[in-house]
Amino acid sequence: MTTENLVILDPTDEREPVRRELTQRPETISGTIALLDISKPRGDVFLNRLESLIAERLPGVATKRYMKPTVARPAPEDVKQAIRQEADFVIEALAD
Amino acid sequence: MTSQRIGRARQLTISASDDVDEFLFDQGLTDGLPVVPPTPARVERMLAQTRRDPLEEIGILPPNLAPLTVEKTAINAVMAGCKAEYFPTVLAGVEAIADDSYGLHGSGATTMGGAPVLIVNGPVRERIGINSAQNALGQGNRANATIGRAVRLVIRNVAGHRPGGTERATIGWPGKFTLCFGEWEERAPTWTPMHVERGFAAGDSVITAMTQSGGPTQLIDETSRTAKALAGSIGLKVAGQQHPRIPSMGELIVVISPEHYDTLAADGWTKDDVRRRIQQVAARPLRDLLESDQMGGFPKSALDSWPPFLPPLPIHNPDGSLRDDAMDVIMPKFGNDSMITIVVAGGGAGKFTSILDPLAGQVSVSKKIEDPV
Repeated sequence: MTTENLVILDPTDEREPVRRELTQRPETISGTIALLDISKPRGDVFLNRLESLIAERLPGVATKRYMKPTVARPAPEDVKQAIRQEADFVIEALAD
Repeated sequence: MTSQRIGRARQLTISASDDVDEFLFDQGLTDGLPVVPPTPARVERMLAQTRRDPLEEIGILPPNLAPLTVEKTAINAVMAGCKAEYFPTVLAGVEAIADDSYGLHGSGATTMGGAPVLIVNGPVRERIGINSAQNALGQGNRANATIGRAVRLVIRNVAGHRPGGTERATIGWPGKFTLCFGEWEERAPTWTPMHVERGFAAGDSVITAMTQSGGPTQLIDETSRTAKALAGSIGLKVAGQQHPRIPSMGELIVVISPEHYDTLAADGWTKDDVRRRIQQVAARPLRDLLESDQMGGFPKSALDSWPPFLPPLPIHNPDGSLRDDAMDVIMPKFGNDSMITIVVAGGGAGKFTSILDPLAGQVSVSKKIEDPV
């Protein structure tokens, strides 16, 4: 049994990843909802249904469709920028 | 032993009254198996095997967007159990997965469960003892086991992929511990080695990282005596991969045993000939692939909206509408032949070929391994 302390080097990046706070939920829905398809099969089926439900239940709210070019990578900056500029909410169809 | 090459990694002190192995498990720093404690002296020995500065940044690894340095790579290589002489190979391996085109974020985040399979070419195999012969994809060889594990530990400890966190594999697979082997180039003298196919010189040492999601599964064909018949068997085997009625969306690895190579080479076949035969046998007319109430398959909805990130299908008119003869169109299993990687590995006896399962949408990356110091 060793009687000395052992010194090792930290294998991690030595920082906690930034914890992102959730945006406060608004009381009401207004403006534009972005519907983001990530290019998975049947994501469009889900979003089509959602779009018609939104039109039926929230007639004053607009929807706008967006698409990631590939499911395998994070959304490109221009898609994220467009959603930020053009929409107030976003619903992402993960399809899993 | 000096510590001049140690960078600036934080030092952690483990009390003499604490159990070192339990401490490392408790900190979440292992892959579930014990690791070698990364003492400064061990990390120093690792760093002595490269000319690169310990603080050199190799890349920014998602999802933590953490800078990966040469020193952090060395620490994880020690933990994985690497000999110091393996370090340049580990460095090139992490360079490959850090390359933006590799897509590390998606490979970990996907429910399909991706992990890099590492294939090594060139003189480094013999120099450090990477196994490309008997049991090449199995256990028992230190270089194969620990080089692959070192890359995985970097992905865990630096990039931040942790099961249950951002790593979301539904089932997972043992390749997520380690999967690294060499191509037995010398046993297949009539074939172009993988790194040469990828533009490197034959004398270069190269490591290729390719995200896979399962396997290997083994084809047993002890009766085919012609290249056409044997490559046909391989085509039949891969036709069922992922889903027998859906085209594959990722890069395939076919590991051919020496005896199977002999059968293929005896008829003068090249790797490209084998690729063509695999495509020929694995392809199906669209009508045989469509989903039905009896069994799943190619989704009918995809006829109208094929994901744009995949190679276009030959079933549409230029305006995007479905061709009248679409059901007769022969659908390839793989969008193009270059999605099929073929290597020879394995022991001298046995008529087997092993197939790995690709991960959709991923791109393999090859990096040259630094010459020894």
